[in-house]
Amino acid sequence: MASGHGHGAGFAPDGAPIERISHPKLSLYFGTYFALLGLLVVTVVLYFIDLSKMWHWVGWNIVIALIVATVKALLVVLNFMNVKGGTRLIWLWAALGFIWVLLMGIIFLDYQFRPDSTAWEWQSLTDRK
Amino acid sequence: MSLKSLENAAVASSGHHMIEQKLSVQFEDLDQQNESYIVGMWSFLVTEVMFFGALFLAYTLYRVMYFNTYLEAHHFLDVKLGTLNTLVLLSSSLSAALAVFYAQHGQRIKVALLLAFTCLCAFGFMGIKYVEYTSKINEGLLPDQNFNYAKALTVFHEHHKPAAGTEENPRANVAWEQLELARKANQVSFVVPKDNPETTFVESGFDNRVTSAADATARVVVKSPARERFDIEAGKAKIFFSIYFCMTGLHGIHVIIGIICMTTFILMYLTKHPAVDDYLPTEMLGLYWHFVDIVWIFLFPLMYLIS
Repeated sequence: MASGHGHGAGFAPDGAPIERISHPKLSLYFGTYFALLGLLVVTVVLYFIDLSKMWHWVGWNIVIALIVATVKALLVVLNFMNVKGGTRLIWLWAALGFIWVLLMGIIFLDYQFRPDSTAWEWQSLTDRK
Repeated sequence: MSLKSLENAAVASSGHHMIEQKLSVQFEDLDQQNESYIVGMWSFLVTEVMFFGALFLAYTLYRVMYFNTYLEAHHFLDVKLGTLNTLVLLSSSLSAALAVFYAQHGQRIKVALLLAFTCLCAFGFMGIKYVEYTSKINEGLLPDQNFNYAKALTVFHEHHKPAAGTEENPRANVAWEQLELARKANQVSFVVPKDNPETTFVESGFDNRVTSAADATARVVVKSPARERFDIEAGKAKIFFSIYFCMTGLHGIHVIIGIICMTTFILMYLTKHPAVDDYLPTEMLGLYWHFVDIVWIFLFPLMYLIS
């Protein structure tokens, strides 16, 4: 049996603590799967409900759909991809992908400060009847 | 014969212990080695996030610019097939995660079976995608020289008339309204027989040429201001479908790569190839597959469920 596969931190030959990757139980995978299926139902049901009538803003549907999608992605990343049991370095790399997506959002700041173009159909988010 | 009897006896008896790993010379210990593998795979996945991220950005920019067009054009995508594909991909992700679990415990037959199931799901996904792509291409929605939004809209409105009493979102009808105006302006009928819409529109352009097959039923129009406005709307829809085919196509290529890799792994597990003595290659394959799943998790609501 490989000695290096318990859970929790051990010690390197020079005495510094080592981080170990810990592995989840089988039940976690099934739990995650059923949670994902539940969220899939939420996603599809959400499509047929017009939230703007309730909360007076057209953006709610896409905002909530994206939040649900992000929760699903987080479940996959943390449990299926086992970032939860990963070392700090693995956390860092997994977070980098997310940070990259956030950085791209800054491009919209640029568009904010451009003169209006007639080719654009900027959607007023309150004009829905 | 139980699965366990197929496994190596020592491994089978210690079903819940990790397999023994070999340390490569360049690493201090197994923990460092494992972390290096995983971090290496994650850095590849970050480049993939950048790859898809640029396309998601293009999607978002055009969605802000042409929201009405997106709203109208997304009706051509089949929510049922999209949901089914999400279900298939989520299930494949579960079996990939289970395959990694059993790879860690050295139960290679189970790994091979689970990878085979994952592969099957991937084939199912591509099969459903094939059905979807075929119908889009037949409807004239592939953004090439045969792109024909007029035909697609006409077929769509002839065959999917909203039930009486239900109100259509007026914002989802911009191109259709322009098309109607274009027809009225030219006082030309543009009829689609219900029995066989495909054969009627053998003609790709929306100009005054009429092919013999279409002659009797479809008389196509000449340029008018309304027609020009429709062309602009059709151009916007073409952008939506370009983004749709680009993103789902790139995702599909990733699925195909996944199928190739998984098939290789199944063969390696069945032949007891030394490369899969360690579980990390399987873990990395799993990471890749989960990434493909995550891309679809975002693609599905963004493409199919625009409201």
